[in-house]
Amino acid sequence: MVLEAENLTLAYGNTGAPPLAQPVLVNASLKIERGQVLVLQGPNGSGKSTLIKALARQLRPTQGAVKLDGLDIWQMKVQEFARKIAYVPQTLSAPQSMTVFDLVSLGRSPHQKLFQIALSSHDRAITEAALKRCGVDDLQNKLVAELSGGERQRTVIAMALTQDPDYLLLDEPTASLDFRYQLELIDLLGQLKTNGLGIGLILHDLNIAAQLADNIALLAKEESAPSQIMAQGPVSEVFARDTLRRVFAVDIEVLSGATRSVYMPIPLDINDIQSKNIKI
Amino acid sequence: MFVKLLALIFLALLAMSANLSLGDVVIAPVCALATLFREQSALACPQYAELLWQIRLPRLLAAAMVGAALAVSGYLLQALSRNDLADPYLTGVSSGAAVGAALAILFKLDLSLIPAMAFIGGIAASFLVAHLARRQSESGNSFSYGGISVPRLLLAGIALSAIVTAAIQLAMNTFGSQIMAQGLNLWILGGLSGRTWPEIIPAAIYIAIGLGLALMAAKPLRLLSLGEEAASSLGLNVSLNQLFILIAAVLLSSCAVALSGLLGFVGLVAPHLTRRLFPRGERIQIIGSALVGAIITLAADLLARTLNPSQELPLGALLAISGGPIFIAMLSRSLEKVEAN
Repeated sequence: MVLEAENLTLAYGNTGAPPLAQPVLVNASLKIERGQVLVLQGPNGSGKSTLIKALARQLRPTQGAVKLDGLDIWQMKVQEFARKIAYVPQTLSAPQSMTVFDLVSLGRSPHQKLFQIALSSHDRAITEAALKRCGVDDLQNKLVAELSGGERQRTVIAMALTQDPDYLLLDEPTASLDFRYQLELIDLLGQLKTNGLGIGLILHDLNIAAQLADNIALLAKEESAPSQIMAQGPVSEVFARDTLRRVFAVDIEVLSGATRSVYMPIPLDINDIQSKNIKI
Repeated sequence: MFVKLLALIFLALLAMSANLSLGDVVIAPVCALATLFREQSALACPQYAELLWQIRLPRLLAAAMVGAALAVSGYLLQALSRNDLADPYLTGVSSGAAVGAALAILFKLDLSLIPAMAFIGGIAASFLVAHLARRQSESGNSFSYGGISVPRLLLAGIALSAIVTAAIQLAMNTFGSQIMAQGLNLWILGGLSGRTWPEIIPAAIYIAIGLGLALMAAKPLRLLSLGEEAASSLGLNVSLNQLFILIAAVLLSSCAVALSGLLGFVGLVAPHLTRRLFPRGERIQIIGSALVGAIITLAADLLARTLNPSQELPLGALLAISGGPIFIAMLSRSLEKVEAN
């Protein structure tokens, strides 16, 4: 089982007729296998969200194809696709008057009949399990309007899990989470991966990425050219100081420890930290 | 929730019986009902049977149907555009339907074809307005009401309404007889006087179909309330379902226009009130909107008939006078929200 992008060129606003819109991202190829985590990283505007949208069937590539087990995802029925791949966008504008339970249970939609509103006991059990797994089970009767940013994020992730997908795609899921919930989310994603889920996500924090990822894809654009994937592979290969500098245009200190490394953008005074004998 | 629904049903029945009883001739509700349904009863007043059967009953049924249809159409258009300010009148759908119906009248087509012609006009207008109001969309989805700009939607709707009303009047004055032109003028102003069973029965069938489609669309409506992107990632065929909902909305408003001409603001105000009564649940909101719309229109039509005994007031004007200020209040609140962001 594999989700792969082959030679994608991505652009917004193309109607199929010339003139074609300026591409945002070119020559993007990558692969996510089940039971693996791929993290997309890169500076702002490097096309990470665009790429994840293309994987999530939200944006049709102008060239190339996204394939799930060899089948072009645009050949699949939208409902069939939604049973296999769940997508958590950066922001979801749910109606303020909807309850958390109702929102999360909508994740069952791809498994239901089109006009079905009532939940089966199986749907209910899966919804409750997802609520629990994301730590929002005690919020289930609250309204969306009453949620904090972090609670909302966890609710949306619970909805994606309710889809019971093979792959999970997340656009900056840690953005509105405090440290504790960031760590809990990383832990949750780790468990899901062990359960055989393939995960693709965008993260800004290099350390969290290094902890979670099997593979990293670094995106960047050079001057006015469209973005590209600059480097791709396991953390140990991709997170080299030179590569990171080329992609992020800042120096990033790599402190190598016995089991893992720590990555620090240079404005922090590294010498200072080292002199205090901080252990990694 | 159940109590509120029962209260609405009770109010609707009350409004219907008031419309049956009140007017130039006041008939006690018990007598009126007896005359209609139990002719042999001692309470029946056979001298009014003709008045009740041929004038009051068709008219009150038309009012209830038109109100329910406009309200549910407004509810659907608001859900599609994700904006509370959309309604069949303001978005130009009603105007398009009016063109279709006017053509049917002008060419003297069969009465049962008027709703169908109105439907064709309404669909054409909805596509035109949706196209004019659409922001550049990422998905290139041509039915999409989701990426619309609300000021554009309202401006396009108002412009279309102005052009259409003028065009109908010109056409009538050029091609139709003077009597026809006068009748059409009244019809454009909106009103329910003189509705007859042959007009009401086909409209009732179309409206029942429209309400059925609206109730079926409850689940897609809920998914679309999350936005097009989220709805499609939950497995919904977004453009197909948007089209389905649009067809239901246009079918309902076209039938209403065919029966009553251009009546504004019911489609705006009724769903708004209903969402306050029932904050959650699409099906209950659809049923609630239908009831609230029916109650408003029945009440307004009763006033139109009885306020001035010597001459009937135009129903459309009455609704605009009361609904217009509510629209302005909603508009300014929504603009404040936009400016605050």
